[in-house]
Amino acid sequence: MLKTFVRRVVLPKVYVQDVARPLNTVSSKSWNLQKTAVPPVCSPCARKTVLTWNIRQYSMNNDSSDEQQSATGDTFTSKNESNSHKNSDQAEGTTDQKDNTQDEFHADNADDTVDIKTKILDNALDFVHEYKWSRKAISSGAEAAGLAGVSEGIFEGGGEDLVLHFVRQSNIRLQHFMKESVKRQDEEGEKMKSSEFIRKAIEFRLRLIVPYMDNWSDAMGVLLRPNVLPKSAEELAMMVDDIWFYAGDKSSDFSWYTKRGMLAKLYGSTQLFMLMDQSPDFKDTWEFLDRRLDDIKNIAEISQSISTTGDAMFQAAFSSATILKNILGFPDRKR
Amino acid sequence: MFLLNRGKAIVLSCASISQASYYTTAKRLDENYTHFGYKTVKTEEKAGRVLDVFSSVASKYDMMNDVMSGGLHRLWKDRMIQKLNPDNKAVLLDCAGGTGDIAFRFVNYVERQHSQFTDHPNVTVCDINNDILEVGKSRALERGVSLNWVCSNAEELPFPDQSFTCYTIAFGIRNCTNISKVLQEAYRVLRPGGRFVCLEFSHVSNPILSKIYDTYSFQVIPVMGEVIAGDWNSYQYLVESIRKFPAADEFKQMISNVGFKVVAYEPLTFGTCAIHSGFRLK
Repeated sequence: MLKTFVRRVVLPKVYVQDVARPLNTVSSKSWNLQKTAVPPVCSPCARKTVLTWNIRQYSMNNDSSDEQQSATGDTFTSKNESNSHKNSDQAEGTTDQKDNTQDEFHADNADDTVDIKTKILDNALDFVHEYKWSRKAISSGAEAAGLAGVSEGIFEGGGEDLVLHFVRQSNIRLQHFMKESVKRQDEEGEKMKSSEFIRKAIEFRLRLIVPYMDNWSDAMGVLLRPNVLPKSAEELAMMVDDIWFYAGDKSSDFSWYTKRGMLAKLYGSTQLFMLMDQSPDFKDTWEFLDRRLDDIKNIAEISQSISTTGDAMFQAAFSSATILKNILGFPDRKR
Repeated sequence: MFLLNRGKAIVLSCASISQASYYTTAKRLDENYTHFGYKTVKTEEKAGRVLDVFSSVASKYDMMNDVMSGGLHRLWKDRMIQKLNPDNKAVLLDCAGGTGDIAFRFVNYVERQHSQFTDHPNVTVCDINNDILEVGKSRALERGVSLNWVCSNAEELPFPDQSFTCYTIAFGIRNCTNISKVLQEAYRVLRPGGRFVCLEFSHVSNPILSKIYDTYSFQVIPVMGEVIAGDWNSYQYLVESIRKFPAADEFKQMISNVGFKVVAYEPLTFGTCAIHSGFRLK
């Protein structure tokens, strides 16, 4: 029973190469192909990320009406713009495909209160200085939006929902900025290096935090709470994926994961540095970012050189044996 | 053991006598007739009958609540106000809140959470029954709290549109003749952003506990009512009206149908009661 379950349900999920084999095989009757396993690309991750890519591509492609959004790094876009960003991402599109993907993605916001929720939270961000990331801030935001203060009960997580909203909003703004940047590059014909692009993207994203810098450590603490951590990790993963996508990453091997992991770590460490930074216009933070990017470049070069050196050293150590082997006429089977 | 059996026999015979008398009327359920516990009565009569029930229980209402629920009703009401989480600008309308339990809790909550508020929290207590309101007024006098007391039917509130930010009704909505009308009135008097919170008895989901709960409800509560308050029938009506009230999901649907958004319910004490909540967002 257990063996059948394992063979039929668990194992087929592993990505495999199918090799045809005769049917009258001694092995399991339910399997008439011999499976040779190859190292799996984590299929749930790949599926979800592809889905995410598709959704975000759709959201990018379908809000062509927002071309006039400003995309420079130092502007802090107004509330109205951010509202329309959110609405265009979550509004029910005209095409059927967009409807499906949007519904899947925003399953919990599929009701008609999304606009009101966004309005309340956008207004609540103004009160974060006074009341920090709390229900009181949301209820003041609701009052500012023209609703009764008790409507903050809509948000079951309270302050956590406010922080998540801000993070999502910032990520959407980053998306638009990167899209604009890529468009400008295409028009002008000059291609930015990916490290340069990443640096610009991270700087833009971190500058969005600057207005809330006094309370940002609280917000980071909120994002690490066990009930919030899955959502905040997802947001980080999607943001990092976006940055690499717009930077032009087309990898389809394991480096896909290492690139995103490294960028997430880079973003996290720069964010932490920025919390403590007192220099004018966060000059030290940008220098820190540059140093980290240089480190990453160096590591890549060093690891490459290590592998070639190791190869060379191995060959040098066995050079006499190799020469002897060739003289005696034993061919190298591998080539 | 003999005494216990005698006691059981007495209780069961009382129960069967009272139940026998309740099945004399014909059961017709159209617009003109509605349920009053397990009885069927004319719709226009129900309000009057409810009035009589609560007039007779008014004096011992609070004490009976404590006895029947073992003091749990205090926790349920605390949870209700905690869920509502009013701010210092909240204006409360407490329907069927005769003795003022919810109103006093609301005032305490606002005073404790928000030490600076613009005025004294504005609370209006509304009930169909004047006797219970009198009990509430005397309690308010004892505590030195000033509230507004209004005697009216929850189906036709004498307040202008959009005049409150919180509407609560605790253990009262099952006594109303037309629940949808009450909900519509609640929607009408709430401001946009206002919250409707209803604490009401519900159906126990666990079958074993449900059996125990039924036994307790039908065999113990009316007896307690008779012994302590001298009124078997009112407490019989009470436990029957709980059974007649729609289940939590159905009630949630009724609230949504009227126009409230983000409607949810929280069952308490294994489903003995539930707090339903909805928002008027437009």
